[in-house]
Amino acid sequence: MSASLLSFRNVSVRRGGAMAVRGLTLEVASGEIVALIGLNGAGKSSLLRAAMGLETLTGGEILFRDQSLAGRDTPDRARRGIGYCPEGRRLFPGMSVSDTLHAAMKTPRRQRLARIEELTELFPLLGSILDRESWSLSGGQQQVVAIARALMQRPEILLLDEPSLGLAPVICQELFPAIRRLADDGAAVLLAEQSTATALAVADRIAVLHRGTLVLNEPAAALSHDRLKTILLSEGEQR
Amino acid sequence: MSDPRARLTLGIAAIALALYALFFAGDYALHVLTRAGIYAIAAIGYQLIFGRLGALSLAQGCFFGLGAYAAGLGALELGLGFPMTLAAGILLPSLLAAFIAIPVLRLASHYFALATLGIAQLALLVATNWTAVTGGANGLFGIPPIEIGAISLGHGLPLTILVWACVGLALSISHRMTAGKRGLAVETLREAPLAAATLGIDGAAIRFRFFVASAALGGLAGALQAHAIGVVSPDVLQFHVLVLILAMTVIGGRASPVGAVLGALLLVHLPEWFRDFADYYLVVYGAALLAAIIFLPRGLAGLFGQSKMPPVETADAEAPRDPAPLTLSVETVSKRFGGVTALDGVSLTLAPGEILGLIGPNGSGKTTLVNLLSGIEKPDGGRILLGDADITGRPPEYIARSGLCRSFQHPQIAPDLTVLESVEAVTTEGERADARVTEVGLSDGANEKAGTLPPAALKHLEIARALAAGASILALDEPAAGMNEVERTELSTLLKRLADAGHGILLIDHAMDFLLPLADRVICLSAGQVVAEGTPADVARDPAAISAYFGESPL
Amino acid sequence: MSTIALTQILLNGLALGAAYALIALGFVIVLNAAGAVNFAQGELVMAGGFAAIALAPLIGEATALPGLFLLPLVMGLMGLVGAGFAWLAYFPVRKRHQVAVFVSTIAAGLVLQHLANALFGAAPRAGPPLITGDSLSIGAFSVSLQQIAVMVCAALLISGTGLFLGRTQTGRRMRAVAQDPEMAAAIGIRPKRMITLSFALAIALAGAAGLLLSNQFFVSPNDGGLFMLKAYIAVTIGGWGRLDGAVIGALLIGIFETLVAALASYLVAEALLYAVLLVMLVFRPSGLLPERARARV
Repeated sequence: MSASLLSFRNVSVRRGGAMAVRGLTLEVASGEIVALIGLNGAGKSSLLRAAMGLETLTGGEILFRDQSLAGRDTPDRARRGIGYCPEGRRLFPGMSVSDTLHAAMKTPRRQRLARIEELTELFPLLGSILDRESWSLSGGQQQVVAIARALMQRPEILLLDEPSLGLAPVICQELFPAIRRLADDGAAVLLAEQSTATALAVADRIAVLHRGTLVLNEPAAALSHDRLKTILLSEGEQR
Repeated sequence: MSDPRARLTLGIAAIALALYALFFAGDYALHVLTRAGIYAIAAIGYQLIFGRLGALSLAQGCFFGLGAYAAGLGALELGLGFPMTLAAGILLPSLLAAFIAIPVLRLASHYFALATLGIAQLALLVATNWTAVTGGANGLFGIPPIEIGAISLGHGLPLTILVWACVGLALSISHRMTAGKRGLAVETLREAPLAAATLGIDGAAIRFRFFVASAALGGLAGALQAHAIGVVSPDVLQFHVLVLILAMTVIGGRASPVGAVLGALLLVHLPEWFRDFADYYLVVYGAALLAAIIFLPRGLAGLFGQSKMPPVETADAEAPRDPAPLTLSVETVSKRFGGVTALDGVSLTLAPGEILGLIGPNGSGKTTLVNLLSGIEKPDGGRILLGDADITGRPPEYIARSGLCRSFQHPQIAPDLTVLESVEAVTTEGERADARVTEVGLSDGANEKAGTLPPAALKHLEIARALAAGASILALDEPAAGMNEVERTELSTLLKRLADAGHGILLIDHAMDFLLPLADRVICLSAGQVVAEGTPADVARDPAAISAYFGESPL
Repeated sequence: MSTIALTQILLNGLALGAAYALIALGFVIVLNAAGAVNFAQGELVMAGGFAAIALAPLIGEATALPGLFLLPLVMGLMGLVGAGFAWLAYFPVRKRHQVAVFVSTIAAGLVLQHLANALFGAAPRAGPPLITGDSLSIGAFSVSLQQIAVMVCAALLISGTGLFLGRTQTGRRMRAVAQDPEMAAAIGIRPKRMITLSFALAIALAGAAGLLLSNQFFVSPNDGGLFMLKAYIAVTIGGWGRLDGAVIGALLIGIFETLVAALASYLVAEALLYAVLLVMLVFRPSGLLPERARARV
């Protein structure tokens, strides 16, 4: 595996008064999909938000391309090549899909159009909804737009928070191969996921979070669905 | 004012003011002092609705003006004598406030501000144009000075003393409404309205009382003003009167009636001191107001530190009483949001002394269920029974008083209240705050401000509040989220003890390792429906529950 | 009432409503961008009127279109005022309770009002006309050139604002911040910059309205409250937070006022307006048009 693109070094995050992540260390390399697994409240979202600069660290540091992200604000991180697709999509409800995508890139119009064209190849669904307003889209469509929005600036890493939440399986079947293609093209993906089955099917490596700490970090190929479920269910009792 | 130091400061200030008025102030200075007193009364009233409840009423100037007109008309047209004119000045705005309170007080902040502004504008239009009664733009002239029997209190020192006696009266009314437990409840209502309702605080009644009281004090000030200067013109109803009162309250300190008095003294004297700026003194005054908001978030009163409740001994608190045994029955309850069905025919029962675990993936309807139980949302179908009483669709404070309280995923607290005060705010008869604080293990930090507590302690505080509010049944929404192992063990122990004492507990949590050993029974929700129910061991093995949690392979 | 008289009234109402629409539009832009109710919006309109009066000598008597030349100057100046306003009265209290922003904008408005009073005096003053010249007569029907110019200017500014927000890259990024500042930051937009820009645009529009109203209706330092109230009502009628609703609401208010004033009196018009507002707040607090669907976060 190539050198690490995004590394969390002993990271702690406090969110809404609670310790969400405690002393976590994790590396993500280019071309790799890492799935963060854990129950609600395990700290997955907080970790992704911290990488985006939306939560402040109470300890440790996060490196991107071997440079510390400390002191870099959220827009700066976005421009440097970190894409973020939050839980619950959080599209701009009153904006059209096309406007949303344009707003996410600060280059001349022709380049923006070319990028939208490329993304439409990745997600064919996108082409038919460019003029729709975001609030009128179905959950699956919203998810595609949210991912496309995060990809507009060609990020080197995509932070993807629970993309399959509330989506019909048939939509996930279209979504995840596209994410695989992204990784094959050299991007890194850090994916927070509740569904172990999905994670196993799509990820290269699985990291299990439990109450803010990393309890497992192994290649997906070495894990079975049953073993992963057992780990999740019995985690507390083992410790 | 129970803090002796604050009381001493106040006493010294009052004596200094009295000495100044008696021995050093000339005629003009007394006149200015009288004006300051009049505005102080209006500001003390405004402080109730705006400062204490945080509702931006833009009608306080209107209440002031109406009081002035009522007193003036009472004296001139009806020939009323002094105390009666004052009563008229208080009554008219109070009646108006009571009349508009019900539709207007429900409105959310900006609409409330606009509605009160609209009423103020209407009053101004009426005063300006109903010439036959109000004298139109010229107003009313020759309102007699105040006389009681043969003694004239109309000018100079006697008037100043009368007005400041009224300031004292206003302070004591405000104190009565906001001291002790009442004040704590009001603070909870302002900072955490949802929690207040679900702990049995009747917000609507408090808002009504405070709104009417603010109008009454505004009217009293207006009536005194009418007598003091002998003239009432539509000017008293203009927007700038409100702005002045608002500025006094903000500069003085939103939460302190004494601050309102300080603000009034300062702002009435400021123009006198700024005379050198000639035309620009009002500009300076506006800038001072802006600076005060930015740099003194707590106002002048904040400079002197806050009055604190004396620390309370909790060590020898007596053991808390056991709850009345209540059974909760939920019968085929449904809830839809727009086209989305959040809950679909959910039934469950919770017996006294039982811990019922509620699990399910995100968006499966767990929090919606707790919202329905606590009355924050109304169900679209089905029934909820507490013992024999049907509480379906009842308001939260009624449900809380009936014996069901809840906690929130994100604790809803008043950050400036101490732990003990937070609990004291909601205690019902026969309950003791210190006993409940001790019971949940917070007695060491009983005098810490709630806003400074670590998250685990906040969850315990929420439980203490619910118990003090008289809850037999507790609905706890993810109380263990963000806790470490030690904290979770403590919480488990507490919950077991509460169940043993007879409380029924509905416990939402995601972590099986916490929930399964603790719960007597577990229900699993998925997409708004109960998909599994039984002993913890059964549900943990149930394929429906596992698939709801971990998902089938979509690939 | 004859058709001609009615048309005349409707035209007057439209001209007044169009100017109100600019005020309301600015009010909503700030509301959406910052979540703040700008109570000083009326004083900023007044300031725009006085800015026009102060700048008028620069243009001189030479041209027949003094106001039209002044308009960009006034808007530019007020745009700068707007940016300063954001940094003085909004950002310092941004993180605090909503009421703190209410009060800080009231205070800023107070400063403007008293500044105008000190600089220009309390008496109403007439601003420069957009176009010098008389009425245009078509048979029995006469329209003042000034009114036509007001309507055309307002219409151009409103559609220009719409196009700017809807079609330009900066407009899109401003809207993104208005909808979700955190997500906007996560795609590389600097929210503070966009919010400052929104204040500048909103207050430039208020200034433009001040100029447009200043000739026919005069301007005095104490006018601010009334303008603010009209904008507030327009936004409430149109649906809190809707740009199109604010414009429609403002036009309705303009026509309503002019019509009732012609039938009864200006006084009745104003009283009825407040009464309608109160009735509406009680029975339909979300406005005539529905509030925009917002994401449940």
